[in-house]
Amino acid sequence: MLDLAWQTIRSRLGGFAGAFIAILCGTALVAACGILMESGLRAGVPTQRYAAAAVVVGGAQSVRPPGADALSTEQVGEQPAVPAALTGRIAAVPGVRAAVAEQSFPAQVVTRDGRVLADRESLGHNWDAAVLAPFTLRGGGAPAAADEVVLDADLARRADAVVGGQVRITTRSGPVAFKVSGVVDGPSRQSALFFTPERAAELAGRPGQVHAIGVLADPGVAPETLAERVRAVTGGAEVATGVERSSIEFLDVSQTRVLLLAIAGSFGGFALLIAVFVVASTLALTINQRRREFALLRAVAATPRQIRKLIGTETTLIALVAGVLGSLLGLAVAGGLRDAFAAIGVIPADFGLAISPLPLLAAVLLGLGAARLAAWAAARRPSSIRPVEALGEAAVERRELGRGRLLTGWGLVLAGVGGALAPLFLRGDIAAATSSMATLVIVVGLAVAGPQVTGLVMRFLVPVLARLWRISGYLAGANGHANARRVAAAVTPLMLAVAFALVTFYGPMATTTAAQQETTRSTTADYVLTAPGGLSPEVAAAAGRVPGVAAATPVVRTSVITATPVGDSVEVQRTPAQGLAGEEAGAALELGVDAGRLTDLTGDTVALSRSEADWLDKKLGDEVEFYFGDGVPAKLRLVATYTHDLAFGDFVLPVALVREHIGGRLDDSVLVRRQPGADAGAVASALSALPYPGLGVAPASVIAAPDGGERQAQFYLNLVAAGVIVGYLAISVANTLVLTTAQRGREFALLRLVGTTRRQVTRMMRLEALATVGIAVATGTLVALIPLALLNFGLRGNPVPAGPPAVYFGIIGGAVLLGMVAIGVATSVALRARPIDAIGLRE
Amino acid sequence: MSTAYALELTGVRKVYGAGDGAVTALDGVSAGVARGTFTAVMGPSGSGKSTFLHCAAGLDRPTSGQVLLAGTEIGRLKERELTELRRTRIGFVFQAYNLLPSLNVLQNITLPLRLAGRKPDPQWLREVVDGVGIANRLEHRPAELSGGQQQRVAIARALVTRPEVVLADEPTGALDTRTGRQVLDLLRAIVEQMGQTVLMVTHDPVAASAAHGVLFLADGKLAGHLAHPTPERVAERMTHLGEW
Repeated sequence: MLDLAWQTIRSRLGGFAGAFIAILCGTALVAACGILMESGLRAGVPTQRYAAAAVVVGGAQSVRPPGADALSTEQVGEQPAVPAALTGRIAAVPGVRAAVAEQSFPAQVVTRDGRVLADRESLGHNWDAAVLAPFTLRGGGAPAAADEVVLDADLARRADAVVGGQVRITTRSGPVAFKVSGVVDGPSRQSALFFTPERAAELAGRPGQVHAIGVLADPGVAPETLAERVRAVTGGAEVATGVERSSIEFLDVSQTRVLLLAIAGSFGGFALLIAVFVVASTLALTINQRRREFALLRAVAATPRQIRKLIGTETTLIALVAGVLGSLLGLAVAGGLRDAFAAIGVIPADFGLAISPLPLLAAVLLGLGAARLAAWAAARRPSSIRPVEALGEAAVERRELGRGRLLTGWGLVLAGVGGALAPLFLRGDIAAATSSMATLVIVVGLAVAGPQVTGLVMRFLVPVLARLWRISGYLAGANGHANARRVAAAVTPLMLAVAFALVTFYGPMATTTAAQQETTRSTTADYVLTAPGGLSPEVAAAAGRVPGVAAATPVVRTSVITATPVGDSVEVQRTPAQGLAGEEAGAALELGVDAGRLTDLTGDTVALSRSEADWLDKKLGDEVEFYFGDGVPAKLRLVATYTHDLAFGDFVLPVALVREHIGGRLDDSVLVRRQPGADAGAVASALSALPYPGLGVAPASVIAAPDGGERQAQFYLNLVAAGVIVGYLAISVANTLVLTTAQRGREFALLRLVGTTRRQVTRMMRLEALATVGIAVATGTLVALIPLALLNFGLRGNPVPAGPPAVYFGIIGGAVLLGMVAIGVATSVALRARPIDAIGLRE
Repeated sequence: MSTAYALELTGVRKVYGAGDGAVTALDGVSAGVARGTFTAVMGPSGSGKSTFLHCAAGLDRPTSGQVLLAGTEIGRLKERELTELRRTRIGFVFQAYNLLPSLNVLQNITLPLRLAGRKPDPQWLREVVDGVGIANRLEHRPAELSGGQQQRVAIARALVTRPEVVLADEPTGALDTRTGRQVLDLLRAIVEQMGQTVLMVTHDPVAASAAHGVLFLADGKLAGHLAHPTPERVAERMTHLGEW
């Protein structure tokens, strides 16, 4: 069987090209995802500030509520803290030479001309923590007094500061002058400023808590052993060694690793599924063409099992070669994906990849498995061919589809349309998700009932085509009608691709646009104040005192982690939240409060969106339990509910409370509302004149919807995923079109012998191509339009989908191009032979 | 195995389709093919001669009636057993598309053995290959052979398993008269020298006259028998077929 398979492949290379490419691309993607996953687990950004510390102890990086299983944890959204008291306990552990607590808080240098140096993350620390990197003194000495600071060399150079000179530094309070007592050399992914331990503790503003505790080991003690011992005394804190130390050091790294694991996992799984589909359909096509060959084999006494084995062996051979090449290609793809993700901002630009043979091997095996599965699915028809077919000419297909298949197909379509109605009754992200699910179901349903749909459409098209082009149109229509299955084989993946691309692009657009519109509607403030790196809490108070200002509220954007019991387990989710000042917020923002009062939002209170309150089943005055962004549990009293959840998220908290749980971060912005009748120009210039470096005053209309960054990243991720799928489907479509056209050489020869000119045949094929592509594009658009229109109507009140129309035309144009080129090329190749020779040719 | 008939059909009926669209291809045909003979089955188009061959070979199941191959009733056999039967006890030659295009001549000839998992007997293989006269083209692919040569390869493949009966469906239909003559002489030779039994379906009186005896079919029924045929007598019989 092996050499039979080998012989067949050698003589029919072209036929297997489609399957080969599909497996190659699939394996490349799976390998790339495997590499990304491994990188998420093992690699990343090497630690910088803790390089000399064998073990680092930090706050818990994820939240796992009681009752949740090991997989339902959620990453924290803010820097978690560690109790300072742990330092003493850790120092007592055998093998520990010293335990050093590290403070970390935003601290930025302000240059002489008022510019804030915040292009790199700029953090202040206590001087004794310098030994953990270590930072070494290049000039000057350690800070001795509360107003002395040590800068890292790069920062000093950019700030034009010299030892003994003065710098102005902003922290949580406004800019303060410090004396530069020294300059250090050290790692420069972030900018570092060192203060005396007392001043650092004061500037950090979190009494009793530190960012991390670095542990220096006795000589000869292995880091892992030390980590074990330290873990025993630290309770729930995070203890890290090796490459994981950077997770504690940089919040973006820690989030990246989890993100990579999630993305790579689902992406790779998706790619594999699509690969099975594409390989099965390309194989089915070649197998269909080899019908007579299989019938001959059956007549010459091959059992059905032997035929299945033959096909299986052929596929295995191809899958092995394609798999090995593909997983090597996967190395390049992994690099490309990494760069793409970094460009989007989903992962830090210097995140390194871990490359090992394991993901490559796994990809080859998975690709092989997928190909075998596809072969099994495709082999069931030919193995049951009756041998008598070897003697006949069964070239026209059976007319009807089985009843069961039709019922299933239309049933799915109905179900999908029903699902598409969801946005009329649900809100927010659930609506969007249900909508895209519904589209998928509709598409699958149409694919199942495909031939009937195509046949129906063709029946309408036939008279139209025949009218317009007397000969070519007539032939094209008749062909399409008689061979609906063949046309459907090409239409279905193309329609899938078009619908998918449209929904993936315009679906999230609906939510984003709706959120943006609601945000703009909900902002009654006149100005928004921002600064690079954030605003000190004092700014809001200062703005409020400016004459002509009615109210100024600080805005802090953060997230909270909720744990909702779902059946037996607990579902853990991180959701965006805002911190607002209760009394002032009402003046500058319109939340659509429908119960309670926003002015009660002080102390240990919370306001929820109406849908969240209903979901959690809470009334005014009830206690709501969740976790702050840094993982600390919260139990707050519900004082108000509101309806503008697209603009404000589901949780609104008092800003004073939120500030304690954002890892020492500064406020995001301040919203200012003028008093009616106040002079706009005067107020604006008074605000700009506030003594806060880098302060920018802008009209409030430029406010972005909350969570803009993460939604954007998610959107681009979806685009990449959709691109993969569409690419696959394009392979399938091209393969189908090329093969089905090529096999019609005899038909073209017959036409030409009977008197049709070459040009008429070419035009006939072009019309068929247009009809095929046209049906696919039209159905694809329709299929995407229904859920999109409903989604837009439900979210925005306007059924016209939001988003640039240029993308739509681009997608359609791509589909048309694909179809026309594939058929065009195949036709001109098939027409090259002399008709009298071609008519005698077998496949 | 010791019956005189290599192939025996008793009251075989074959109906395609159902209801109004039903077509009766064979209507109660009873015939026997003796061992070591070359028998032709003749009839106009639509007479059911192809169906006759299919039922005889086990490629199609008769609606009613019995088909005995060397004493074994093949109507009762399951698909798998039928397949094995085709491997070892029946050889088949079609009118066209006889060979797998991806394999060379030798591989095509030994295909049934390979499917059965058996090794060819080198001496018998040599004898068959020399007998059909294709020994100098063993490495070539079917596309490189002429029609006559392809038919000879097909006959060799049919013989390689030493079958009970060789069934041929219009084997000379696509060949010119000279090549066709050569193929017919070959078929005759394997009967007289190797002791095979050959059943051939044809519509050509010249081809039929190469056989020892001719069975006539018309409208699905047996319409006569002719021993020691000549082309003229066969042609005359054919013209009067409808009158029986």
